[in-house]
Formats: sequence, C-alpha cells, structure tokens
Amino acid sequence: MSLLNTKRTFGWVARALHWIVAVATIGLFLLAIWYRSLDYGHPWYTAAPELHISIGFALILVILFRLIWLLFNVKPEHLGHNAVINRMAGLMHWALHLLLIALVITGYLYATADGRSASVFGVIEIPALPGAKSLKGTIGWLHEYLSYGIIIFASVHGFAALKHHFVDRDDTLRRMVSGGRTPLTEHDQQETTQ
Amino acid sequence: MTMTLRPLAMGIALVMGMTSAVQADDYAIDVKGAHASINFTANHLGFSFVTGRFDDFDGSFTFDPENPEASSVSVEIDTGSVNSNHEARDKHLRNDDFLNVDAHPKATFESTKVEVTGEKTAKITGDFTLNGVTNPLTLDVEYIGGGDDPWGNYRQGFVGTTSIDVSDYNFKKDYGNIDLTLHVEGIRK
Repeated sequence: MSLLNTKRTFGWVARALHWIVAVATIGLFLLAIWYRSLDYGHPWYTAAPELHISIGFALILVILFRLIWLLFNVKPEHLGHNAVINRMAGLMHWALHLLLIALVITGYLYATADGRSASVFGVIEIPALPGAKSLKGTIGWLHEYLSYGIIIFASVHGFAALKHHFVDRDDTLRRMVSGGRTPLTEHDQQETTQ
Repeated sequence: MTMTLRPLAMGIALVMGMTSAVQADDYAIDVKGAHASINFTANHLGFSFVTGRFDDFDGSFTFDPENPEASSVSVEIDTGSVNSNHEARDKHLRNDDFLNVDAHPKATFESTKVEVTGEKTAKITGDFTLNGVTNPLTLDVEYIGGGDDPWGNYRQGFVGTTSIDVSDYNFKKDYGNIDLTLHVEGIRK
C-alpha cells in the first residue's frame, strides 16, 4: 500500500484524509440538523451543539494537515477523457476545499461570537478573537448557508464519482476507496520506460 | 405633530374655544444617546431568569404634565436586534420558533389610552404588534423625572413594565410569559 499519491492513484494517507473529512463534514451537518429539532428539555439539547463544536475544532487540524499533504503530493490524473469536464472536476475540488476552510473559520467565529472561549471536548478552551462580537447577527447565518452550499457541492461531487464508477466504468471512485485496480496505461508504461 | 404644524394646531384649538392653552409637547425617545432601553426577562427552568434587550428601536411620545391623560406614545422595535448576550440563542430567538424576524422584522406599540392611577403612575394601553399579531397591551408606567438637562435640551423620563403571553403572538415555542421593562427618556422636539 502506497503512502504517497502517484499520477495514477491516491496513497492511503490522502484516501484516509478524504474520507475522514467527508464523514466528519456530513456528520456535523446531520448532527446540526438533528439538534436544532430537539425540544428544550431533551438530554442532548446542550451536549449535541458542544459535540458539534468540539468535532469542528478537531476537523480544523485534519484540514490543515490535509492541505499540507496536498502540497507534498502529486494529484492523480483525471480518468475522464473530456478536458472541459476534467477542468470542472478540478474546480469542484478547489471549491470544496475553500468551502471547508470557510466553514471551519465561520464555525470558530460563531462558536466564540459572544467573546467567550469555546470548549473542545471540555479539555481545551479556544479563545475568542478580539472583535469577535462585531460579527453577531451575521456569522451564524453565514455558517449555516455555507453548510448548505458544501452539502450541495459534495452531492454533485459524489454523483460525479458514481457516474465514473457505474457509467464510465473507470477507476475514479475505486482509487479513492482502495487505491484502485487500474492496470498501467500506455501512458504510464511510456513513463516508466523513459 | 411636526414643528411647523404646531402653531396651526394651536390656532385651531383657540378658534374652537378650548380653554387649555397648554399643548402637549412632542418628545423623541433618546435612542441616539442610548438613554432608553427595552429589556426582557424570561424564566429559566423555574430556577432563575434570562435577561436580554432589543438593541435597535425608535419612538416618540407626547406629554403634557398638566393633562397626562392626553399623552401618547409610539415605539417601533427591530426584532432582529434581540440580544441576550449569547449569539447561538439569539439566532434561535430570531428564527420562526420565536420572533420570526424574516417574516416580521418590526414590532410596534401605539398607545390608545392613558389612565392616571397615582401621582406619578399611569396605565398606558395600546396596540402591540409582534410576529404580525396585534393585541391590546397595558403598561404600568411610572414617571421618573424631567426638566432641563445641562446641555440645552428638555427631557422627560419614564419606566414602563408589562408582561406578555407569547402564545398570544403565535410563537411556536412557549417557555412562559416574558416580562418587559422599558426605560424611556425623551428629548423635547
């Protein structure tokens, strides 16, 4: 199992990071949808938002590490044959990265919008930035609508992966799950013989 | 009533043979200098109270110390400015479980009757509109004081209290009555 990415497929670190971020992001979204529906007396009424905030802060570390990892790894080449669609797929990946960064930043600012620190799993206190209170009234709204944005974008991204798997029958999804089974292409063979 | 209309109104009053030459003065609530506040208190679990305020509102009143029952008051509140010193709670208060700010960004109070109950107290009844629902509401008002301030203005100040049952205003969530306290200082126009 390869640690690093190659031009053909993802290494296991990149795959693990991708799925951790995916599960955490969708999980945080569903958690928020759920706790917003709870009655005031529900046992999870205060604990669920605290868990959302704690996981969110942990996710910041994962995202930072993932961005660093991205810098030191090649990006596997697109398996699609349409240059325009490949370009759109690449733009989608960057849009998802930017949305994630915006989500964790607004999440932090919303969690500290009272000027009070935010608790991470009851262990670490993350302080508020000076002036955090000035964002009251808009920051929660922004965090909420960015979350709808990323869910929509991630759905398009996911359906595109399923289209590669079931319609194009290529290795796009498989190489993000298991590293892929693609035999060396002519292009790769040329590369290796060079 | 604007400044330009007042002489006309006084003229009409004289022509109509009204005996009282004293006219109720118009006051603007001093929101700019923040010598006015609209505060609320909600019971928390029967253990204690949460207090908050509406940061943005405006209003005016007329007041004649010689004839207080002729007074009137009008207040308009931006419900989106609700502030309980906890943004996550305030965001919840703004949504349609409570204040429904997107659909009804303003709450208003227009007095209809002033009934003097003591030397410095009165009951002011009016139409209170909140979340698009209008109900009669009565405030217990105490006159605090008035006169020239050190900077050339003339002021009058009051405190009003009332209590509302949020189910009268179609709040989806109801955790009991909300007590309101208004500190109102007006500058004579």
